[in-house]
Amino acid sequence: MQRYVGEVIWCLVIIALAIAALYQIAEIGGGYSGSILTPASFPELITWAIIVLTLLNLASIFRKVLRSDSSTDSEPLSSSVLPFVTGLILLVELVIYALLLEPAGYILSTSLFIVAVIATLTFLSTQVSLSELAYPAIKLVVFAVLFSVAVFYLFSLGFELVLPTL
Amino acid sequence: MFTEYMDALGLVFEFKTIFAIACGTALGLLMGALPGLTAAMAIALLLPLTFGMPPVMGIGMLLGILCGAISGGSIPAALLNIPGTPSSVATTLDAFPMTRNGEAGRALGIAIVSSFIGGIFSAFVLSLLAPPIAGFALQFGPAEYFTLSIFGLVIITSIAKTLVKGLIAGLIGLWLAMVGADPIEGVQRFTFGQTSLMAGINLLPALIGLFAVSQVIEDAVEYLKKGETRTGQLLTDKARPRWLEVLKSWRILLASSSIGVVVGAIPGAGGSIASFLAYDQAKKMSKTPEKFGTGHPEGIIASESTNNALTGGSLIPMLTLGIPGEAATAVLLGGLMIQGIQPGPTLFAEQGAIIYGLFIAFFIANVFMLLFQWLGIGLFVKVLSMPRKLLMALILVFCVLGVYAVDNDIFNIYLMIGFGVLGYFLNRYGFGTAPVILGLILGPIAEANLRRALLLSEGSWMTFLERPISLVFLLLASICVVYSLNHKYKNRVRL
Repeated sequence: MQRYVGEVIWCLVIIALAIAALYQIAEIGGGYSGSILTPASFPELITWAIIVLTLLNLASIFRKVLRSDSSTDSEPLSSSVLPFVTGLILLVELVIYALLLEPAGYILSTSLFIVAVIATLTFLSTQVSLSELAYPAIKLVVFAVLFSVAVFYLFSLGFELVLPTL
Repeated sequence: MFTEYMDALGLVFEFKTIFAIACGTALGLLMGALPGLTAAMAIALLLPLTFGMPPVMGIGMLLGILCGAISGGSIPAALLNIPGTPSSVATTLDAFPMTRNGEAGRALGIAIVSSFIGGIFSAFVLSLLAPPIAGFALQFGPAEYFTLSIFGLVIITSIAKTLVKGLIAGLIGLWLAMVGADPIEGVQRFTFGQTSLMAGINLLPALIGLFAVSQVIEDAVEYLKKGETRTGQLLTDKARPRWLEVLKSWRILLASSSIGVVVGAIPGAGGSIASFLAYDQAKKMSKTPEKFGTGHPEGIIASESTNNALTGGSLIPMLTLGIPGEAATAVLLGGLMIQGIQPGPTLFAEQGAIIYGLFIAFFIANVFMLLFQWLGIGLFVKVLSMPRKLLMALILVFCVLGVYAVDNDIFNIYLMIGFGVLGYFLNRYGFGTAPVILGLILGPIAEANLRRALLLSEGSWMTFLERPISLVFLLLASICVVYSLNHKYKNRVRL
């Protein structure tokens, strides 16, 4: 049962977003070209198709749940929560990186991001103890700074792409 | 055509272009050698590097990445029994036993030559077949383009676990393509006052989010479950190309390469299907079928030549009709569009030099693939021992910088993160991400041509059934749906 909970929630999120989209579609204007289809027609058709197909998918999940033997579902909840938390932390770090990129400058924000991601994965990893960190702190900081500088010159000189200020 | 090839030679044989193809192939090999990094992800991640390049140079580099990434998958398949890409699963069956027998260099040497010959074979077929197909497709009008888009979407949904899930993913992509100005009247839709969305969703953040960020999140989750993969000391004897050994099995080589091209040209069929089909065929053709699975060279030849022949095959529908066959070519199609090239029949007529330049670049990429895999095998083997957490951090940095560099807009980074989350959940629950990209690409084409066709037919929907080519596409799409449902039903009955 538990393995289907996530998918059911995901389907409900899709349906909720699709219903919200239907409200937005009602506000789309236009329809002056003389065609039987207005700018709102295609999105409306797609949104309804998404809702119907997602409901079909939900129905097939419930059929599977009814058929499956709940006693074989033995995965502990903790084992599914930790990876979820890791993904969430990585996303938060990405958002902070994006927020800092322009105000703090490229080198500082990139170096901090590299250190933060590696530290997160190291600390949360169940198989690596704190004493056996693959990249001791100072080495890691030096690597992060050197990598950031190298990439800056590669992007700006090698590929002529503009990055935020140093 | 001769004049166009001569013009194309001038475009390709410039130092910078050749250098870009070489760099692309080397980077593709590096990424293909890392288990879990797919060819689609490699192209998405390295796409920003091509922004400032002229079209042939930029797309040549992307073709190099595609060739390298597919071929690089054989390295961990042979040395670690871990396929670097899904299409190298069949390679593990004989390459890894050969490695265990102390012949890792021989396994890699056979894989290198087979990949090269498969790739060159598909490049020939591509350059021969693509122009007439594109010529035929010039007859298409709005009705044909609309039904072709529907056919393309239906067919790529077969990548997902079920037809319904694939369709949902494709429709999500189509819906996202509606963001921005509508193609006929210019009315703004779903922009929420955000100026960055007025021209529609930028393809690059979508590509990188769906194929790279989602993959890193998935890898991080796996990393926590399994920890660092200890590769140990990987010793290889010299991985020099085994020409004679491969050419001795020329019948298997030819059959496997042909299977690769044909399956590659069928949208949605996929790499792993092709290599297993070829493996099975080689077993039937072999004088020593009992040796398959124990380190038999013919098994490696079949799988590896198919993988690389598949790349050329999958480029045929992508370049001529604008319909990609699988995830990597879907991303490549996005790359072409970012470069300002709209694949399809008109491309052959209007920008012949560019398209023939791409054919030549594809040949050259295959040559570089042979050279780099032969001479740089030691480096690619070393890459396998790179700590995964370090790799994940560096990939995320490249994702952010690549997306930011599109037009120096932080909003694109948030968009990429959003697509990363979407991609993670789509993959986790078996919906797949390739249909989303195809929906994003085909959405504006489908909508604009549907509305144009209805304007031309004065609102009659019968236009889609009255035009023969349009009718054929609709029938093909229906056959795909029926086949997929039937296949699913049979599987359920078997269970």
